[in-house]
Amino acid sequence: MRAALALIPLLPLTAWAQLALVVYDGAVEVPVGSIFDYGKIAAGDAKDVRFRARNTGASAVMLTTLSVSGAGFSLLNPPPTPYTIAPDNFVEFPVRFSSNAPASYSANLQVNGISVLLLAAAGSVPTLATVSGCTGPDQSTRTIDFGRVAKGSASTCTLSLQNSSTQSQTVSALVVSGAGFGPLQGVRAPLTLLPGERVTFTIAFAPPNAAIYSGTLNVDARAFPLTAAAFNPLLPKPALTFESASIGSAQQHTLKISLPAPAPFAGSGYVNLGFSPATRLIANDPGVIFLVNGSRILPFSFKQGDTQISLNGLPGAVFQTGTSAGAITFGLTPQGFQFDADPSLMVNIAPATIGIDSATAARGPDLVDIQITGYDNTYSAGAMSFVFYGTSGNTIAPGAIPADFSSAFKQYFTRQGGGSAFLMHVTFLVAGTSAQIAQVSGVDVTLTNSAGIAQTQRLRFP
Amino acid sequence: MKTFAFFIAIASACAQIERPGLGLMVDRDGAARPVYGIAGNATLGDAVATGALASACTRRLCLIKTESSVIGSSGQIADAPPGPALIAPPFIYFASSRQLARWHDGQLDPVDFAVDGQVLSLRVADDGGVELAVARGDGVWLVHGDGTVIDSLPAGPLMLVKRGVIFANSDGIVLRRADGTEIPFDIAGVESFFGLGDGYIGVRTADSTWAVRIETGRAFLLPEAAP
Repeated sequence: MRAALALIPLLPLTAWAQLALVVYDGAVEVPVGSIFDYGKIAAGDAKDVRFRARNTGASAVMLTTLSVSGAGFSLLNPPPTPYTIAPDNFVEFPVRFSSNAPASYSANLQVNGISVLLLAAAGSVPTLATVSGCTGPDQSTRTIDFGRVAKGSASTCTLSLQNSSTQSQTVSALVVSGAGFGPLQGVRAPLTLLPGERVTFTIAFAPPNAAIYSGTLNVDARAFPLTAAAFNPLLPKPALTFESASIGSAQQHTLKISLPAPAPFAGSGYVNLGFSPATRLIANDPGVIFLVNGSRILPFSFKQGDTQISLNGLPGAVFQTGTSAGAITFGLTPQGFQFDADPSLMVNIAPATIGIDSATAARGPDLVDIQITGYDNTYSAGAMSFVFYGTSGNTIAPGAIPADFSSAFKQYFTRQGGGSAFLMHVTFLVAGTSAQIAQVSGVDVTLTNSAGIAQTQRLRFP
Repeated sequence: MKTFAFFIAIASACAQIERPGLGLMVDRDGAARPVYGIAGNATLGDAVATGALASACTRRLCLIKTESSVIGSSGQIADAPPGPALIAPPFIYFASSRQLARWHDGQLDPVDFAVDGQVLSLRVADDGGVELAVARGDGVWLVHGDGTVIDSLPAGPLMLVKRGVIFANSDGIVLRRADGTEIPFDIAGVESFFGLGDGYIGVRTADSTWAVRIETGRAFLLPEAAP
């Protein structure tokens, strides 16, 4: 019983032995000796240090004493005492130094039986102010705001440092950090400012992407947060032009895209071709494509100052119009910026009479064969007539021979899946002697669709 | 007015409608693809052969040369000397072995060939034989299959066509017909020609492929293969 009573006063001593005082900087813990120096603090500024009482032993430790005594120093949200610290655990208590009066300061930090002498020097420092291109520093957060800046462009914030005291002031370090911010120009640390002297300097901000940016300007120990918002800039609506004002089916044209004024920034994106057929017989026309890559999408790009937009690296892009009436649309998909107005352009491909690409006629022992290659952008072909001529140019009876191949064309167009180009063989069996058949020298073919009538040139039988 | 004792049998008129084709081309990845459509509006079909080094088509026959074989349009395959070839169906000239052969029923029949110089192009003559463009020390010549000279030809990339020649010069390309008439085309940077199809010549530049229609003298771009 006596032995047990004798142990009670010894418990705190044992506990102190396994309590370690450290400073945590957000990344690592550093042991604290008998003196801890806050360094030079700007008068009016505050500096917080995160102290930790860590239990390095195998049993719990009771924190019974936690105090700071001395002008300028104070505990921030200290834990209540007594406070139990489990093995391998800690309790954190920030200690702040702040003073408006330039002077040297000291205080005693007491953590159970551990005493640490805290030192700090409050000194007068140059006053940082914004001049142009930014605002701040904010009175409570010190934040300097660069405002909204277009992606790909650059803005400049001009600031000043002024010595408002009656003694020289030295700035040892002046550093800018943070993506998009910098470089700092017009001043180089260390520098000494005489009483009343003022120096201006600039910080550039050039955001590569549309985002919120954060950085820091460090003036010795003082940190000034930098902030900026980069946005996708607007580009004036470009003009889409072709080398010809008249655009119809089965043609190739060159698309060019120009800007009304030099581009204020560099950019890129895609040109998209679209097609909406006038007929319900097909859903699309695969012939409407850019030729350089056989597709309906093409990259575009421009540099700052350009007025001509480059298409797939070239000044223009050749496209073909397909063989269907309808609407071809050109859309631009910008990457990382916007146009101030929709630059899309729609080109109407008007219904047209059947286009004849080539036509030939051949003669056999008892037949004549007519071959026509062409397109019908209305998808309504079928009605035709054939007029055969003799060697003297006279019409062979019965004259115009009508024919209706509408169902064959409709079946072909439906099966074809888009595009109206066709190769048609028409065969006529001929009654007569070979000598008579040899007198068939030519034929005119008339092809009708919903847009009108087309006629071949006189086809000669070889 | 003279009348004819025969007539056109209306009741027997019939029409066959099919997809028109311009020929065959080898894309930049070495895939041989049919070219569909009409002048000024062509599309490429799916690859019919890969690893193609050259191709050429006439109305009835297409031939594709791969590294070690020749493929006919009917699907027949014949072993062939390695490397590129010049094709004018049914003739095919193997540059590496300086052999001339004729495609016949899916086979390559050797053709006697004793022509000096570097063969640049070949074509089928009106008599069914072969005519060649050859570069020699003293110029470029059009010669018969036996080596006898027919005419001189311009230097530079060229291709013999039926009753004519198409060649590149500093201004572009020129289609020169047998009657001496010429049609110039504003196509710069020509690297090579190929037999696209019946009546069509393919023209290759560094970044584009053109088709020239011999009969009408019209040139238009062909689409490159979609990525």
